[in-house]
Amino acid sequence: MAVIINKWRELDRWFVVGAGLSVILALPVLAILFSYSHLSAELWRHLYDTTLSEYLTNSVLLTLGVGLGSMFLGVALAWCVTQYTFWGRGFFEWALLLPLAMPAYIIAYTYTGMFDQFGWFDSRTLLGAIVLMSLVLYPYVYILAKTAFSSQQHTYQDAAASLGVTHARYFFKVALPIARPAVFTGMALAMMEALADYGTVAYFGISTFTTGIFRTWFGMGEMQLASQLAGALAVFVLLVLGLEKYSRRNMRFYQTQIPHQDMRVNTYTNTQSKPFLSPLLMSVFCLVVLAVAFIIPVFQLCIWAWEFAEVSVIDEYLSLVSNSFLLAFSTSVLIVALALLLSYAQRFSTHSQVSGLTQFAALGYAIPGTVLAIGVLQPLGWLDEQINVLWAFVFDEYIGLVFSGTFVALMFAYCVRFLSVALHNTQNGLERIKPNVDDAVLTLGLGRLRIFSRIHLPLLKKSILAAGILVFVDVLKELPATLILRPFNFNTLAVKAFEYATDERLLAAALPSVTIVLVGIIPVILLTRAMK
Amino acid sequence: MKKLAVALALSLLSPLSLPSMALANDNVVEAELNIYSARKEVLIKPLLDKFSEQYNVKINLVTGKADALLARAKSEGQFSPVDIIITTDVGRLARAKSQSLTQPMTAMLPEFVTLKDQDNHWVALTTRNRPILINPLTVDSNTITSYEDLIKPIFKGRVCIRSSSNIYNQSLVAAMIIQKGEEQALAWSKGLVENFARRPKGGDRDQIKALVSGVCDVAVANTYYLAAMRNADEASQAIANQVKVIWPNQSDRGVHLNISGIAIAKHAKNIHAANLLIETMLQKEAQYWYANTNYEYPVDPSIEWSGTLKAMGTFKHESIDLNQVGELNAQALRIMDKAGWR
Amino acid sequence: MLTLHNIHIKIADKHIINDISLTLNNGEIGCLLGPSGCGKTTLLRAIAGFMKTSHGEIIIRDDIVSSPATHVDVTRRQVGVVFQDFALFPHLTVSQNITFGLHQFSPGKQQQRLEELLNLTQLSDYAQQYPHQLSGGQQQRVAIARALAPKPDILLLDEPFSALDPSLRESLALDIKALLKHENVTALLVTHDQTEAFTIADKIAVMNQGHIEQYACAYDLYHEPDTFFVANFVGEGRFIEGRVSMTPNASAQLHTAMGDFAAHEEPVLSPSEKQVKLLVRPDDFVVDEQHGFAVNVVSRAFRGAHTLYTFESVKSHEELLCLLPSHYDYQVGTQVGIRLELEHVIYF
Repeated sequence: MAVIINKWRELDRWFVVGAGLSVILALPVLAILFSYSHLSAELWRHLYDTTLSEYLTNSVLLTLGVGLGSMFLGVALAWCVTQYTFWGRGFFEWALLLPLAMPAYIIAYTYTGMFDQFGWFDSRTLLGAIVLMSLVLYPYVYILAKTAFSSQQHTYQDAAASLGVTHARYFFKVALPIARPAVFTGMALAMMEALADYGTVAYFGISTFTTGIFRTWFGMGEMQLASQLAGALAVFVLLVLGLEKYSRRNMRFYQTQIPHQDMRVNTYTNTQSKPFLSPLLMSVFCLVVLAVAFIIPVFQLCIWAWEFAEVSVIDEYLSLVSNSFLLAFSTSVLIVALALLLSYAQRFSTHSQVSGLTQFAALGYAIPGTVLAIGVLQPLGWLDEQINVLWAFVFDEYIGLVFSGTFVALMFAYCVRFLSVALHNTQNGLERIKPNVDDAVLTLGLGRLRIFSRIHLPLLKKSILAAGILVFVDVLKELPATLILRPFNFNTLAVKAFEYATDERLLAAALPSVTIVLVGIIPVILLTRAMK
Repeated sequence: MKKLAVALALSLLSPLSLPSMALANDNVVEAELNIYSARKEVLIKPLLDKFSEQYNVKINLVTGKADALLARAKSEGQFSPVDIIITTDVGRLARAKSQSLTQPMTAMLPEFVTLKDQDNHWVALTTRNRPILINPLTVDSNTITSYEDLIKPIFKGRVCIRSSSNIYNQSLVAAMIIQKGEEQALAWSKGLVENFARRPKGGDRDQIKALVSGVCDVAVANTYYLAAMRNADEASQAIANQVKVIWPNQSDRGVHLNISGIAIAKHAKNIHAANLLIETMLQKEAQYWYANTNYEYPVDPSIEWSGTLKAMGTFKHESIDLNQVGELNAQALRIMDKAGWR
Repeated sequence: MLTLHNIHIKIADKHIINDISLTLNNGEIGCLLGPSGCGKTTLLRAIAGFMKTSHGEIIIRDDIVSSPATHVDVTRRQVGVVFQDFALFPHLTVSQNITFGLHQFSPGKQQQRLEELLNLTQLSDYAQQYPHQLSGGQQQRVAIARALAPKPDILLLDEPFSALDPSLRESLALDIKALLKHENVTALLVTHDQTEAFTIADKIAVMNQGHIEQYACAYDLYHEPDTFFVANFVGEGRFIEGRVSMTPNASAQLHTAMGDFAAHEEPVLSPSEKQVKLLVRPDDFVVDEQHGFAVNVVSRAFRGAHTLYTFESVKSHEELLCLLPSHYDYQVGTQVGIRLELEHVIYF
């Protein structure tokens, strides 16, 4: 009996943790969805009559395009570096993550500036946006696909080869489908980021859902309608994610064994006389992607920065760098911890609702930062008011804002917005550990904490690191929410870069932009070191 | 309060002596001033720093998009720390007022101040204009003298203008609604869309570049972008110098006018400092700097324009109720939606 | 038919496989038996085509598939492989797994072969299940069905039972044997478990340190081991000290503490002696309280019909394993008289 009670308590606790955190993190999204309480038929009618179909078409095309583009690049590159030996492979393996540090709007501004300069062609088209965004968003797919490919059991290759299946066919029939959850996760991240992007599409003059949201808000002053549009966006994303999960409901992707560190040589590339792609071609492919997505724009930014640099502002500049770094670092630690907690709550809790709640809490990623920031402000503003009322009742004075306009609000917003990024990684990592591993350790009398530190942590190390880095870089790049929620006198590199860029002062924007990229490189390099 | 009134009265007599006076009567202004600014940091911070130094007031600044900042102030409610709201567009000021985010200012405004709210909720600091720009090599400046000329058939496929999501265009159309009525505004928008050389994209500078690269022959852009380009790197200068400014509607209503302005927040705690800042911003020195850093026109007519502004010429501008322009923003956007102006 | 001619395999300049030759006839089930690290898996992988040989030839049917000059790619070898972890594709159903290697076949033929194999492996009810929904034994059958589907010339099984419950291994092994015999497939199995090898294989190659110690049927390995290693590795048993004395024109004699036995030695020209170790299997003993040798009971393990005793000889203090019908019930510490009855005198 006592055992049952203990067990019940333990399970319940996980449910409380998972559900509690999810609900708190879901508050901003709920606040946005709450806007549906006042539905204006007249406004919707106007949207429907005029621009809605264009928003939808462009958003769907952009999202799908970026999804496919980043999938193609991410998967192809990950496949090359995990399967073949070619010139520069070791370098490309980590360098291909670098475009992650490049905010989409900055690559957009840079290339547009370059093309204008040389007068080649106009990149400000839907296709241009898709290509440019894919170029900086493919690392989401790449990093996850790379882990997935390299942790796939070698016997799968052996089995396929012995059944007369070629490497190419193996890729399409086995490697890719097994990596599907990882690839889709990466795609989903890239697609959500594309969906929520404002800077690039606004600059390119493409009417998407996001620009529509800002039009209705800024232009018409209809924040409610803007929130409703954002809510619709979130629901759409939820549907897509749910659909993907449903489609693989019966499949399992557990790792039955931990891949050997001293990995056996690749069955296909070891024995086949010649690979279906020549090694030289692979080097060229990697180099071209890296050059277009990273080296060329960074080089251009450096030139502009050099032309424009003012030595006088170097002090202020250093504080910008340290602000940005510290904020990104502390936030990524917090978010990864949250993501781990939620993933475990999902794993250990017997309540299946936890999974849905968590999924919902992670929706923030698909909501444009500015709208989300308002979603954050509303519950926090309410909370501040209650605290002040209470405080005034007890101490007869007001204490002012405790949450709004402080780092609490800012970090809360980051948590809501980037939880998804971390969560996808931690969940993916945990999914590959069979639950019976837990049972085995539990029966040995070790507590859950021990399971974590001894069994899971070593297995999850890569996922945790990947989550941390992705969040770090994302926070570093984050702009709209930072802009609205930051405390007084607090600036980040992204804020600086964007202020110049929206003021159409590209040269001035180059220095902070290139610094974002350079600061973003640091963890990427650390990550690759740690992964070896 | 009394002391401040005295100080303010004195300041009217000799504006430049105010700093020392205020310092002499210490504790007149509060030690802090919290500002939400839609104007970029580089375009305002030096002025604020100077103010801070002069009056020993600590300035706390957050910059951002105007509507987002207003939303922040709104959700922060009565505990909001914000004292001063600075925006770059009249629409936002009107919106702030209509959402009860501002309060009347008590600052003594100089006589030249005409661009202000009738209830003193906001005051203009600079003015900005949105004239027509042409490539003089391909367009005869006599063929285009008004906004209405933009929809003439001869300009079919030759007009560049940025997206209707942009506030300047919304204000332009809103002003047109006031002066010519909704129907005319819609007809004009439709005609403009007919004449587009390309789908609206990029910023105002991009329209100027497009003029020179031959994508289009006629464009609409704010003057300060052109002025900034004329003072930037050689490549930009070369482009900007090939463009000619056409001041439209000089024989009737004048060129479209907008302002950048300032307001005191509804729940401001540092009201004296806030009023003092407004007064300071309207002083000659500040006016000169504030207008010049962004190549805008100072509201103080006695201040001499910079060479770049002079070179663009003098003009007559619209004289309409700016609050109304702000209020008609949404309607303007709907008209542009209907006209297919994206 | 599978033939190996003087196979050598080097990995990073280390000799893993040393001069191995072996022949397996059509429909025969062979087995590579040896302790871990003896190179048996490497040899299997070389046969499958996963690695190259540095010397010698591998001939499948009549084709040289591996030699220093040629290496037929694994994808074209038509060799079926069953892996230790089964390597079932987790994203495919049982049917999809089985038909995975049938991509050259027409859909109709695929379906026909699939049904044949599902019936044979009794998996018809699970055709639409995913691997993780199956038991270990079922997974193994899927793995075998998948490997057999394209009708390979030879089937290789790498430790196929190691992932399964030990208590099931023997019965599963018999099922598998029946399956392989039904399909009349030539199969080579790798294992370190002799019970498995004995149950399933027609011929067993005992491997040690990269070479084959003996290649024979189970009976011969057990009763007539060629080498000390085989005698020690295969079956249970102990060695006791002995001395062989040889004299010209007389049969050689083996003297041990437990009696004398006829030794089989080549005739000698002059008398000579040598120290040897005699293999005694647990079933080589009979109880003989009167004339037997005295031994002490050290420990006992009840096995149902029989009890396995560990004795220590009173005289020579040598340890002996002895399997006695379980109606003999001796307690630990008591003294028993036993006698050796050797059918095969094996000494080294």
